[in-house]
Amino acid sequence: MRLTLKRQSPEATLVPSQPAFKRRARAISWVLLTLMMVWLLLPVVWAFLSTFKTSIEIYRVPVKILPESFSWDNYVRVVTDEDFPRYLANTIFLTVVTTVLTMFISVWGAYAFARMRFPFQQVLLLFVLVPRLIPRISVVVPLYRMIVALGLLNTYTALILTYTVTSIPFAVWILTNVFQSIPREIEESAFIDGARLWQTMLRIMLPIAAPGVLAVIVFTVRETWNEFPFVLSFTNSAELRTLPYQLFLFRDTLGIEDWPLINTFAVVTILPILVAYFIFAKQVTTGIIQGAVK
Amino acid sequence: MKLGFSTTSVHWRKRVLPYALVLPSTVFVLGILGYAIGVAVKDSLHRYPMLATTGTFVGLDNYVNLFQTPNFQNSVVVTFVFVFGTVILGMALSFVLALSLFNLSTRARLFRTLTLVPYLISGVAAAVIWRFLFNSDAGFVNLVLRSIGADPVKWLSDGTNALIVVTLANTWKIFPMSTVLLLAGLQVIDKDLYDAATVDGANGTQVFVHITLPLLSNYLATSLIWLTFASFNMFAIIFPLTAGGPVRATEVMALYMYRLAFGELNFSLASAVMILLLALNLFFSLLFIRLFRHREV
Repeated sequence: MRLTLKRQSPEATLVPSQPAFKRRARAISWVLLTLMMVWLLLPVVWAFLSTFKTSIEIYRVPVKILPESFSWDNYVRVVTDEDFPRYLANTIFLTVVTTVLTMFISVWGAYAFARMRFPFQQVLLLFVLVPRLIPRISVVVPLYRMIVALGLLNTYTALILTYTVTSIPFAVWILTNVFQSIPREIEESAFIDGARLWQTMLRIMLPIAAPGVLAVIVFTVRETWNEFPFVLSFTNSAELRTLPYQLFLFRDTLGIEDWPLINTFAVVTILPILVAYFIFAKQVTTGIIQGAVK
Repeated sequence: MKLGFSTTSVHWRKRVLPYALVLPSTVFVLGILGYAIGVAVKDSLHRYPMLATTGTFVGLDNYVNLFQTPNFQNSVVVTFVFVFGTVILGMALSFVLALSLFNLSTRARLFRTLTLVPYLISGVAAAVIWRFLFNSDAGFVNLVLRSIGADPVKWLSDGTNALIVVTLANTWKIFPMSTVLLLAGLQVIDKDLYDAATVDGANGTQVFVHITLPLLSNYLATSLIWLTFASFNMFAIIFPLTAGGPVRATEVMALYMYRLAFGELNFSLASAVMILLLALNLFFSLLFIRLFRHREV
């Protein structure tokens, strides 16, 4: 809890007696920050501006930065495409199921690791935490072999299983750290009052751990919503296609690249994640820091 | 806590409950990921006739083969250029951004929030955005080049340029996370230390070198591990951006592995690449931990 992005009072740094290098440092900081924001946001803004342009307009010489008129045509074309609801529904379905499963499994596991003492605890914890260092792409080949052997190619089951199992290590890691930072006395008094474990979890632990839990949820949602290597390798039917997969296939389905349409599709796929993040931004950064520094 | 519990419920609580809670995550992770790695190790030591499920044990032959294959050697070189390019650039940018955000503290809260935007975007979407940014005709970069009178550059059809673009895009995508980690480190440093140093007449550079950097070493290690790890295993941005091209100029090990497995259906060689990739990850993580985490702060 001590490691939150705590605000510092601006007054404290405005004291006239402060050394000159501090004031100069602040001026330089603004300049550097501006440059960094240009680097961070320019690629997105450039793509975003093109979503209001026509495909002829973007190739016109000299290229104009702003669109001639802000037309929503591309968005209408993306959203009214007859297959779009299918891709959206697939992505939402996989994200919701994976996140719920991951959270349910990880919350209880993390609680036991943080609060209970039992034989082989450290070994078991290691088994869950080490795979945090195993990225998705590196297990795609053996997982593909397993999925073929189990006859699960082209199924939601294969995706849900692999998404969940790769999300659990990160979730257990952060949540264990978060639960450990909560004082024991709080739940012990609840147990003395006769509360059951699940009641204590729902009414006491989870509310106190809210920033960490929210951060884990946002990260699991982000991972699943954006996932690409697994869906690319384990499925090829259009019925299971997710938004990132369709975005990847976009260039092939058209003879000449319709950039405004492709960029619009990209913007539509990333918008939900950005909105979710901006709503919980403060908790998410707090949660990352709480969990990540150990 | 003992009051009011019968012996059986105490027994259950102490002995059985922990395993009941922990088992789903451990069994799931070990059962699937652990088994997958086992399968990969086994596959990498066997040779399979095309599409057969039973192979013959060949020891380390697959590994020896790999090191003699020019395409593998190429992927190793490309990987190291890509990873070290990203780590150096990413670390420099993370420091600049984290220090500016820290110096400005609450005045820059909005920018702190915006910092994570590239990290939240999917690899595929990031690839689309960067492909458009460096598009020969409609891209912003060539627009700037033309407006200052320079010749537009073929970014993605030239090998060296494509590797530069891919490295830049990767840095852009993953450096927000290392920035947030460094910022976290800056925020836990006791402010009194700065004041004490200033009273003693230290200037900005001295404070940074003698106070900030040493106290930051744990966070520095975490950031370095993050950048290295994410780059070694980056697939979701390169595959849609260049697919390893032109002519394998951006084919990192992860892409080479994917191509071996799903293009050439050579799962034993692909598994060998995977094991080597995991070993590289492990090696660099341990190296950075040893270098920077020597003391508990």
